[in-house]
Amino acid sequence: MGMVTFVDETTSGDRGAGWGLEIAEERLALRELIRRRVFQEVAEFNARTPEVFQGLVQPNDTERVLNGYALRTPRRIDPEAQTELALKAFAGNGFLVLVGDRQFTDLDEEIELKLGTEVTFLKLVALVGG
Amino acid sequence: MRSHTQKIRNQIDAGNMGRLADEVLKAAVANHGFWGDEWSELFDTLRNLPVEERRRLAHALIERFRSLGTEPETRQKVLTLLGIVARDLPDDFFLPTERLAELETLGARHSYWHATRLDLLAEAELATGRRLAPSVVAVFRRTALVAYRSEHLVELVKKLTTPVLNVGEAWADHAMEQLTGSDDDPWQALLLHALTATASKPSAKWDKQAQALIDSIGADRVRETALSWLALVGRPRTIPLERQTYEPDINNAYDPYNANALRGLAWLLSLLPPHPDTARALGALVETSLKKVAGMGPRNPKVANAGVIALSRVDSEAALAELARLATRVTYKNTAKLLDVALEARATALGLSREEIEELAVPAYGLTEVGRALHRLGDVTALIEVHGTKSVLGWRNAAGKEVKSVPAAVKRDHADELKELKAAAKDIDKMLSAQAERLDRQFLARRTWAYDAWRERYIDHPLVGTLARRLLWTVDGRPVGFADGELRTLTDDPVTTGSEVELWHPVGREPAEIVAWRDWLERHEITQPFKQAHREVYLLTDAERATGTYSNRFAAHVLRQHQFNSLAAIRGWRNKLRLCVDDSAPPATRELPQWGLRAEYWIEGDGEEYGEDTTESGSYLRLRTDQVRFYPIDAPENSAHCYGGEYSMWLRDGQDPVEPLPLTGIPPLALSEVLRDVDLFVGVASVGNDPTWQDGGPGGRFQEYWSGYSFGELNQSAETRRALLDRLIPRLAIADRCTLEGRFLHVKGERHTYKIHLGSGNILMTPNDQYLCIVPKSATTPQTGYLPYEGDRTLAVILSKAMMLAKDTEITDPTILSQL
Repeated sequence: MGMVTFVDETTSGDRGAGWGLEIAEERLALRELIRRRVFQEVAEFNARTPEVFQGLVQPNDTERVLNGYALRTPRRIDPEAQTELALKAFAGNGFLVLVGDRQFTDLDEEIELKLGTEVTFLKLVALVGG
Repeated sequence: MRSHTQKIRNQIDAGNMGRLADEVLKAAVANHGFWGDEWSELFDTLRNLPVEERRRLAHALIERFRSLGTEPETRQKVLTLLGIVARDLPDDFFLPTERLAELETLGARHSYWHATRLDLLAEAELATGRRLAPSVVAVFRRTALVAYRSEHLVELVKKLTTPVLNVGEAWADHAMEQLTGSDDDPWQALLLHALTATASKPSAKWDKQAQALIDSIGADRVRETALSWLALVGRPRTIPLERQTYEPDINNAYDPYNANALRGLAWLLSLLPPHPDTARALGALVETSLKKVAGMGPRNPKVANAGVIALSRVDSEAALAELARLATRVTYKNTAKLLDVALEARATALGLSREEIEELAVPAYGLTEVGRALHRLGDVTALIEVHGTKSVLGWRNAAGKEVKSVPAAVKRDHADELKELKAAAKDIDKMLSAQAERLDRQFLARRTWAYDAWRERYIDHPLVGTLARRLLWTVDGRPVGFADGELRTLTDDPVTTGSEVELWHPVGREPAEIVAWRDWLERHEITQPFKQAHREVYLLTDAERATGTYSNRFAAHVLRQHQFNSLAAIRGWRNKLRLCVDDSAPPATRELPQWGLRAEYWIEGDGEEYGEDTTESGSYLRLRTDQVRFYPIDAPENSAHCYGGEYSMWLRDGQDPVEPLPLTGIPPLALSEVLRDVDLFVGVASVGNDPTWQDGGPGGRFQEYWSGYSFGELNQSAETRRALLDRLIPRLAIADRCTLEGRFLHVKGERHTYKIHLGSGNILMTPNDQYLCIVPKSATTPQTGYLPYEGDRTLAVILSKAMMLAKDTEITDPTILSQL
């Protein structure tokens, strides 16, 4: 049982204020860690349903705005669908996950979660040939 | 106006001078300082009134003047009217103090609007037998030259014979100090004759009179004196002028009246026996006259052209060298054309091609071997050596020991030779940079030289040799460089003969060869005068094959227009400065006559706020960029509205439109060099380089562009990025494949090592610095799974590219694969 801090690091060197999430297990696969994070932020969103969703990945049928994604119609977001999107994004280099000082690249790799572990999500950009 | 005129006429007929004064003043207030044609007739009527009536009218006007207070406009109008009606009346009718004050104010101006008829004040002043102050004379002379249809001004200026030149410019003031003031002063006659140089070329008659004047003074004295004047041209004005709203930067412009004298002096110098000092001074005059002035453009193209005409009339090596030097430097179209004609004419006379004349025109400036010359001055030796693109003057005393400063004996006994040596060193510097630029342009000139002529004009030429020996060439197809006194191949085998020589270019060479030559240069400690072995190579990308007839590689940038404009000119492009007005302009174009091609870079003005998006004179501060295209060189011109919009061809006399050429058909060398130019424009002139634009510039419009872009030397934002990467990379899975070196993040892949620029995120591939085009997916396609970007998008791009390229065997995107 431990508190894990999630930090969204942007590439301007700013770090979002970390937010904590209680994790009961001491070890967790990366896939599960991402799922927990997504479930948590979707749950918080659905509790308040503001116009803008600020989360790891873009929900379907939303528009990007400066500080998140605006929902075209106010609604609840499905956490399962959102998790699928997040895992797909991870597979396609949509974001990196650093736990402590190490990058994890394999979704099935078990991560040891000590007390005060910091998990950093770093977002990337989609590329094409020009 | 018509009703005013009628009322005035009614009062004249009634003989009521008080009412007449009222009506005239009313009409004058209504004319906003524009005394048009109807006024000329009225003026005549007023002039022809009987003296007694005019006296009464003048009194009435003065009365009203006193009661009207001191609005400058009204003052001017009353003074003007008094100038008409009171010309032959005693002086006190004129408000003489007020008029003098008015004229004095005028003396601080560059010129005035001729329709305000201030000439009447001057006429009135002259009628009293007094003279106008020199600064006031200057204003009327300048106005007469720039005004439109103003016979009365021309008449007035004819009466203003002193001073000979306009005061207020350093050179003119200095020239007038020479004058004795007597009527038979030959210098005065010479200046007066110089002032008549208003044509584009001197006539035989003009030359003849000039020659007579030269003979009366003596050629050497004329040269020395005139050159001492010319040396002061372009100095700050001795009497600064008050710049009015919307006026160009008059304090950096030439006085248009004195400019005629400068033209005359340039012509006059070309009649003297040739002398290196003359050629130097004329060359400098051309360059000084083409310096740009805000709101005006080149200072005075007429004077510059006179300088070129003069140089082309002097039959000396020094003059030809100046012409050749200017031809590589001057970008102002009109003068560049004249230079072209002058060089062509010289070439035809000698039976040579234009390129050859430019090659032969390069003097050795006293250098006796490549990059070196020894001169004995008494028992001291002066040594001129070329290091890179600079010459260094050194000294050895009688004992052969090197000394730092100029020995006293030289200053004492050889002052003239010393002056000449210093001048030669300056000439060498100027010529070296001009020649380096000319050689850089030879890549696209498709030149081949005969081996022997090439050795003489390039490799063994005392001045050009210092550059040519640091470049790579091909002799009969074999690449060679110059090391240890010989042309050598990659394996250092000497090459001593051959028949055909060309300049080496990395396009189409094997990467291994390019790298080998870079090592070779390093091994022989050769620094190239410009990038040749390390020249960036731009090959066609798949995206460009897909778009077919245009390249979007350099589209969607925001460039500073004025910087872009001068850069484009330096690189041999033609571009028209875009104004925020209802006009259209062709794209920036570069003609490649040797290839029968015309390259175009499509641009449009950005924004529409006067003063915010434009300069004071209404030219756009910024441009937005679009496609690069190629057309046959004789295709009709494209143009687009300055505000933006579609480019279209301007078809004359039933011409058919010409399609842009498919990029696949453009020779790789031409394509590479053109794209390299465009990359340079973007790299240098992009607003992304301006650290003060962090807020996104006007209205924050460029926020995203700015933060997504910076180039060239790493600016503060890129330095920050670097520090961030330094912290980040060790934590990444690809850490062992990444190193930060200088301005680049090096990523070791399986196929290549990639260098990602920390400023722009652009990629060059080792070994041959080939540009690898990978871009972020456009924001218009939905990107499921990507966060909006807060922060440094470029860093994200760099990281994303690094992640991708570290595993370059896993890339599946065909548009990227085809480039690897």
